[in-house]
Amino acid sequence: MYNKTLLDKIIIQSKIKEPGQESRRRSFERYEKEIYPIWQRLKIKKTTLPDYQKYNNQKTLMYRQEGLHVVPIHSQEVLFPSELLEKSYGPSIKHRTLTEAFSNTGTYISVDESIEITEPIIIQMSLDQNNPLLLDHHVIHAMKDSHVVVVLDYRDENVDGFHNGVLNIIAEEGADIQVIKLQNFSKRSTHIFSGLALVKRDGKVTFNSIDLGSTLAVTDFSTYLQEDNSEGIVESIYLGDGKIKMDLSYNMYHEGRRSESNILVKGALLHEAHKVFRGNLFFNKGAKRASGSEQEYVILLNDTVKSDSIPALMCQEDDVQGEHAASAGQVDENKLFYLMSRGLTEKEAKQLMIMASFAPVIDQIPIEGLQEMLEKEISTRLSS
Amino acid sequence: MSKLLLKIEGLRAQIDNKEIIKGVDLKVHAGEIHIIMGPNGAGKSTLAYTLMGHPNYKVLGGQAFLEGENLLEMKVDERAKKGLFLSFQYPEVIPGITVENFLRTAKNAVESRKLSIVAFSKLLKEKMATLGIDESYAKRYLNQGFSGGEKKKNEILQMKVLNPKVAILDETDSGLDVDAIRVVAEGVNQFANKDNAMIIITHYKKLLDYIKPDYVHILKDGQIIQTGDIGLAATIDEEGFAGVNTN
Ligand SMILES: Nc1ncnc2c1ncn2[C@@H]1O[C@H](COP(=O)(O)OP(=O)(O)O)[C@@H](O)[C@H]1O
Ligand SMILES: [Mg+2]
Repeated sequence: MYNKTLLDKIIIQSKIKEPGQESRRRSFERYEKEIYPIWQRLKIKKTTLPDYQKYNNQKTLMYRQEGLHVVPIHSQEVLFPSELLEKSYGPSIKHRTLTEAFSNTGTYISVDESIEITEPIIIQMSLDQNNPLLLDHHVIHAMKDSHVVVVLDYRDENVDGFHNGVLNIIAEEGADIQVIKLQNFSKRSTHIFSGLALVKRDGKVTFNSIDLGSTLAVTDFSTYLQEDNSEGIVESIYLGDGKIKMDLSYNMYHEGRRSESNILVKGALLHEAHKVFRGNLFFNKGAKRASGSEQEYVILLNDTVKSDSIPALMCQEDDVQGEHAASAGQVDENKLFYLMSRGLTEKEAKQLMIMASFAPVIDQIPIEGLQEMLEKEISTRLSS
Repeated sequence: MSKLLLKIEGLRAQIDNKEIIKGVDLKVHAGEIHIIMGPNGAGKSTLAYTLMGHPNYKVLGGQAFLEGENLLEMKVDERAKKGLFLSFQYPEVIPGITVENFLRTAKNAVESRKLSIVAFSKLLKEKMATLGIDESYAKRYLNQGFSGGEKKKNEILQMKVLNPKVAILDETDSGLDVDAIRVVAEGVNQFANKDNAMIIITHYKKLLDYIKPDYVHILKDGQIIQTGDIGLAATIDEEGFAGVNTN
């Protein structure tokens, strides 16, 4: 299905020009060499891919502003910096290159030098009967000293959907980019996400992942802190219930001097959810006085959940600071009693404790109504 | 006689497989203030926790009724909704939940009539002012970074906002300086009326400079060994608990 004939057809039908054509062909070459992975921890041995079809359900909400350029990724002549294609990122190269080559929607956002985009750009993508397959590829390129916030909002309606997304971010010198991925698929859809951020001198990239649904959620986000004083932040929350399988991995590659990274992940697991968290801090040679930290805290609401945390620290440089912390446990019994003694039911008290744990992340995310939405989601999951 | 709010009969309770409360009887009527004194480890907090329903405290025998309803069969939140309140000796710290958000959720839980956000905010400000708590505390995380005295004032604030029928104050005065004790005592006096009742567990006589109890009980080794008026507290102050006649 995903072969050269299909690729040629997409290139012709979507009128993709050079160098967009070339980057798709290069990704396809790589795709052909790779095989689908076995996700051992999650006990997933086989990947079934739905047939290719078009996707026509992306809505982009934004205010026009001088210096902001937003174009569909495949109708325009876009140039992918070649370094994007060569970097290692994504939960599997096979999945990532599939979308790079065959993406059926996506957006290229660029922000001119010193421009501050005041309102978040919201990209809504919903899976439905007519659009069950989403292979989205977005690129965000912020020039020197610019600032932009982008929200990727994924959801679905009554469909066994399949989502395999790719996000590329480049923060030039002094640029500040925040991307919020809000994933609230139903239990019928699969969610696979490959993220890459390249951060130049004094630049900053913040990635917020809010994973609330799907049957299989696999996210891998890699930040390359390429130059001096660059900063990478991942602040994420997840809610896993039912029989969901989640594999969340966040990687920070410190290359520049005094580069800084922070990974903070807060989660809650119910029922028979199985989650694997991987946090990797790489300190490459030359990343002098770089510092990185990773923390994961998860609340286990049933003893039938499974929670694996695999933090790793890899140093080729001595003059660095890296730390990690993790905890997994039930809701503290005495805190629960305290809240209940004020009239909250056990469910309300647990909901409040989960929201309390999520608060440091939620407080950083400029999405209106997020708090209420999460309260509602948590309450629904706790009731079922 | 005024209405019987809380009736405890032959209550026995254990923690960690150890019997701590060994048969307690107590009747509390509307409009009354009861003081429970007793040495460290006597079981005062255990009694309070058992009445509120902490899952680790197991009832071995006896009964307790709140306005005629079987308290011991209720879930913790049902007890609160029926009008029981416990001011904790050691209030929990809960980062991530603001005082205001928490108290609004609680107020809406215990009351059938829901308050709007604005109406609640006004109520909260009023009650905070009476306790001399700065408005900024409404936006702070529950008890996080609060001093000992601030935590205790916050317990009294919760009591005033939730307006229970029977409030048990477990050593709300300990660890406080004289000024803070006075503020807490004033809070108690403002709150007490003919329709509610208070059980004040205390270690010290200082609080009794401000509060006029109807009864003083001595709890020792899991039992109420003596009941009297404020004069009993004076005896203890002079002679210690050893001086109390245990027959
Ligand atoms: N969580 C607990 N586990 C084991 N023993 C406890 C626990 N809480 C209290 N106790 C014991 O119960 C007894 C009564 O304690 P407590 O009710 O706190 O006394 P008081 O409040 O009168 O000082 C003490 O001997 C104490 O050690
Ligand atoms: Mg005590």
